[in-house]
Amino acid sequence: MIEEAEVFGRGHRLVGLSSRPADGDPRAYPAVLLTNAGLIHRIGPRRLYVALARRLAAEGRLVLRFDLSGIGDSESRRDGLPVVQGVVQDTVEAMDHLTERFGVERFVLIGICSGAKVSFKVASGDERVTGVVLVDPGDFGFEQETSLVAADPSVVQHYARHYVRMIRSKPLTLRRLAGWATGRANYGYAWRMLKAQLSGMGSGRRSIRASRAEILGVLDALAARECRALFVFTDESPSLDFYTMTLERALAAREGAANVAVDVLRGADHDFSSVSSQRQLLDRVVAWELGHGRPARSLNGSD
Amino acid sequence: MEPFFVPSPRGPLFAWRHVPATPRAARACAVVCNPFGEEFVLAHRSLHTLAKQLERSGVRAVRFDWSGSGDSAGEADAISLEAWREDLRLVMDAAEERAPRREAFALVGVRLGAALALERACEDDRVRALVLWDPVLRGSSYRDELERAHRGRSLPGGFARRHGEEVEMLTEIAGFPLPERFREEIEALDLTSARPAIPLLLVQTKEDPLSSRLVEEWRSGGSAVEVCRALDQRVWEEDDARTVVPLKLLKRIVEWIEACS
Repeated sequence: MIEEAEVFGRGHRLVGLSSRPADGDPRAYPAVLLTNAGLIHRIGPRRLYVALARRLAAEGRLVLRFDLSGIGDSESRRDGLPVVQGVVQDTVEAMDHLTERFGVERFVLIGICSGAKVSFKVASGDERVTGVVLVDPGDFGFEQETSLVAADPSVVQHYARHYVRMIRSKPLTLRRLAGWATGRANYGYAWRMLKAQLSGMGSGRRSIRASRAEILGVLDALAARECRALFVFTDESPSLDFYTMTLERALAAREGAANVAVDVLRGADHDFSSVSSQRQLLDRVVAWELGHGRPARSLNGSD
Repeated sequence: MEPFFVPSPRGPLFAWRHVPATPRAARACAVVCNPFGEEFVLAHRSLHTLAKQLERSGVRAVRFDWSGSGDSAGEADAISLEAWREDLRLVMDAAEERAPRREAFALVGVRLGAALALERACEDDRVRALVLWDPVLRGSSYRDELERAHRGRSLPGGFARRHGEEVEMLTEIAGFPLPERFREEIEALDLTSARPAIPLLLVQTKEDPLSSRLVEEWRSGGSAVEVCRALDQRVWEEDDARTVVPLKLLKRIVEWIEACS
């Protein structure tokens, strides 16, 4: 395997590392791009992207893990583009770079969390993308600006479970409780969250319908050009809640489902904070990439 | 900022060198020694920024990933402190080869990286200045700290019982493998008797009575020690409300290195 540093993009602001087999034509398969998970630099959560890149390179793939503008070792954009447009443009520049350097013209995008949202957004607008792997994609990038509460009983149940899990995820210590009375709590953040929830009451159902229609529309368009998709959800994640609430039933009945495979990683958390959950993810993604995905099926029938 | 790879027995080590457009007349090369595991991931952008600031101020800087971490070769479950000690020496040798002229080194170590930087400084006369950022000085305390943090977050897994033993051993920290050999090396680490005889900047972003006590001993051993306290600027610790790069603190470190060089 060969690994090389890549410096690319307008003004050479973006950096990444390419991995590829020592022998073989990098154009034999679509190149794989790994997009940042949140603010974590290109090695990915718990170095998952390094492991994934090296495993896929061992299978003949050209893989680029890179930093979007302002993350890791990449510089910020200076063209004033809004953040979402900027990261989409960064990814397009990464594909352009691989085309120029290695001659590849087809791409598979893989991302965790915000990286999944970026991948979905880019795939929706760039026909060179022939596959996407979205790990815990949240709302797929269709940001809910209004509250989901009060819109639908199932939504309320999902969110209630979500917040209970959040509270349980950290020990309820006296110090934590006392924080609310001592002025050390982040009152501003709490107020903004509460305000967002309250201000959205009544419009949540409309918001969900709009998101669902947009996401299904993108999936139909991806299916029409035979772009494959793998959705991977970690156990009890808000992303899984969103999927089951908004997409699962609707997707199963549509043509766009044919190219979509769905998996839930039991016992894995969103941060992949156990080595066993990391292995689960790597095995699943590599198997999908090598096997060109599987037909969609109900979550109840997943592994 | 230029990427390069340093050959090592464990495969190439990934590194960046930050070369100033106008180097200072005084010559120094700062080598940044990363912390371990999640602490490295969290500190990454701040250490990137530190190296950029050094570059802007005319000081050459090198950053690199330990073998089995970051973008360097090697598996995370095969890391060892012995290998990392060699990594640091190899990176310094490579930096020296690429330097336009002979330079002294300033090592900047964070947490476990600071322990390795301190060890190196005590045995390598090329090192002329040392920045220790919340250094790990006693390995057993560090292991306890990691273990407490792991348990406190209720993370899945991470412990295993060896055959015939009653006590559970920590096998991973927040999703980063903790190989048995590495754990034993950490437990054996004790730098309380290290006496660096070079200028030293101790950066404390958390209360640390041990390093505070050692400052006096280091001073009496001939080291000019400065202490920079910036509590709550722990770039290596997860905190959703604190993702900002501590620019003032980095500026202080850069000015200290500039003054030393």
